[in-house]
Formats: sequence, structure tokens, C-alpha cells
Amino acid sequence: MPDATFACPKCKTAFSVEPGADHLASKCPTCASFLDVYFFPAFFRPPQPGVAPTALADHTEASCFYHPQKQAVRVCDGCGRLVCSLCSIELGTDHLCPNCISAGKKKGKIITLEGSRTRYDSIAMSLAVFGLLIYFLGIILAPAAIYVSIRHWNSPGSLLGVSKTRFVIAIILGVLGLVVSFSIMLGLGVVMFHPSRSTSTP
Amino acid sequence: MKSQYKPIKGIGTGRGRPAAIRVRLYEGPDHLLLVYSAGYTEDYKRVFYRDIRYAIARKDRGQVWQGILSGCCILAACLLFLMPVPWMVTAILWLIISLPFLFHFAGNLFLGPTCRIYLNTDVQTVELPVPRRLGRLPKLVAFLNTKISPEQPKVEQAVT
Repeated sequence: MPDATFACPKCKTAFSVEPGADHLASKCPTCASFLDVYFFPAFFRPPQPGVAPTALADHTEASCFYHPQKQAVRVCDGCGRLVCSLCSIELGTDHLCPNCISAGKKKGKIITLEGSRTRYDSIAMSLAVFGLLIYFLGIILAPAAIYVSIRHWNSPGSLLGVSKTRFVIAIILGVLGLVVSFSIMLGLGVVMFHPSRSTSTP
Repeated sequence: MKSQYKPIKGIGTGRGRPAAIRVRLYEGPDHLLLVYSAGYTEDYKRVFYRDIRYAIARKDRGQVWQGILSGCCILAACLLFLMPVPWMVTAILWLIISLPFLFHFAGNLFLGPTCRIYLNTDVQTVELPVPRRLGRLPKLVAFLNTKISPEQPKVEQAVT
């Protein structure tokens, strides 16, 4: 078995490691950085050759949906189409065809492919809290918090599993913010436009 | 909704680039999930256990710089003793101002050298913003070993 190699992350100098080693601590001779390396079995694994699709031997064999001249080896777990070894893409425990993967990524149905999510619950909470704290903006922020909570009730949230509780709290705080800001506005209006105030001025 | 991810204990939270981004590590069913939180969005990066070839840590000078910074702040607070006020008042003021820096200085010494950790797979090298201390690397490696062992066959098995 040939020696496996790893590279220093700073200067990219390659080091060869004897098979079976599981830990190495040394200084890089080029950049003098102290390196602490832990190896896992995959490091010593020989490169896996790709499986090329085989051509159809006769017309009785099942062919790939995307490559009619190639032999089908699997059924896509998404759409059920027969696919060749080239089109069968392993994703976790499933084997999917390229179309299912691109459609799943577009619709956000394959969680493993999701690279980003918006935290609407945090947006709603922030709007509600700021609506309560800044009472004169509460008339705008509180309804916005309620709107975001209802509009994105079913939108996918964080992958880390934050529940709908934050939306419920945002709605409650939003209603409270509306009540507070209306009361303050009403109070101010009464004070400003009270008849006694206008009569007292000469 | 119950999540399939669990936070990895004892690893801590790190800062991405820019520093406003908070990074945490989560344990997934067959992969490690890096979550980059930037206020109202979360970005995810996955490293599958079966693909990890090695974990490499490169020691950096973060501990030295942090020590110098907090040391300078403590020394700057000592300028209070030049003020023409009673010694007792100055000492209390100095303690109030420099206590957070003293804690940081001591914690920085206690936690040990800082490092940058990378996970290598066949196609990429991913930098892990956490853990930042070299002393915590064995904990991460122990966690990875428990997850990787069932996913990656031993070399002899892989060859035969």
C-alpha cells in the first residue's frame, strides 16, 4: 500500500504518512507551524474507481430513463424511474436521479441539500420587542410582527428545530405592543386636543 | 418540531468571518453540521463522517495576542494610581475596571494555546471555527472517532 499524504494548511507542503498511523504531532519544516494531525481509516483507503454505466446487451434489458443505451441498475427513490449507475446519486440512504435532486433542491424538500435558511421567528420576535420598546414605532412594528408570524407560520424554520413558540410569543407581544402604542397615542391626543387646553390659551 | 441535530458538548461556540457570525457545531445522523448564524439567517455546511480523512490543527499566535491585549488593558488601568485621589478609592476603581481583563488574562492562560482546526475530505478541506483551543482538540477527535468508526471500515477491510 503506498504512503498516504496530507498537506500543511498554511504552506501546503505535503507530508507522507506510514500506513496505520493514527496521530502525528510535528513542526512543518517549511513554515515552522506546529501541526497536530489525527488520521481516520478513510485516509488510508485506496481511491475508489468510478462505476461506468454498461451498454445494453439486448432489448429485453431495462434501460436508463436518461440514457436509453445504458443498462439500468437502480430505481430512483424520488420518482421511481430506472436509472443507470451514472444517474444514480447516493444521498444519505436514498438514491436519486439528477432531476429529483435539482427539483428537491429548488423546492427545499431535501434537507441535506439546504445551505441556508431565514429565521422568520427571530424577525417576528425582534419586530415585536422593538414595537414594545419604541412605543411611537409600535403602531408599525407590532402589526408587522403579527403579519410575519402568520405569513411564515408554515415556512421552514431553523434546521435546529425551533418550534412555533417564538411565533406565538411574537403575536402576543405584537398585540400587546399595539395596545400600548394605541393607548399612548390616545392619551397624547387627549392631552393635546383637550378643550380645556385650547380655552386656557389667550 | 424535533430536530435531528444535537449540539456537541464541550466544544463551545466560535466566531466566523466577519466576527458578527456565530458558529456552532452540531451532531447529525451521518454528518457534522456547521451552523453559521448571522442574525436572521443561518448558513449550513455539512461534513459527512464517512468522508473525513483527517483532522489537522495548526497552532497560531491567538493566545499570545489575546494575552498582550488584556495585559495592556490591565496596565492602562494602572494609570489610575497616578490620580490625586485616596489610595483606597483608586484601588477599588482599578479593580472594577481591570477585573474583566484579569479574568480574561487568567482564562486565556488556563485554556492554553489557540489553533485553527481543519477537516479534510477527498474533495475539500473545511476550516472549523470551533474549538479554538488546542486542548479541546482531543475531545473533538474522540467525538469524531465514535461517529466515524461505524461509518468507515478499517483499512484492512477496505483493501480486501
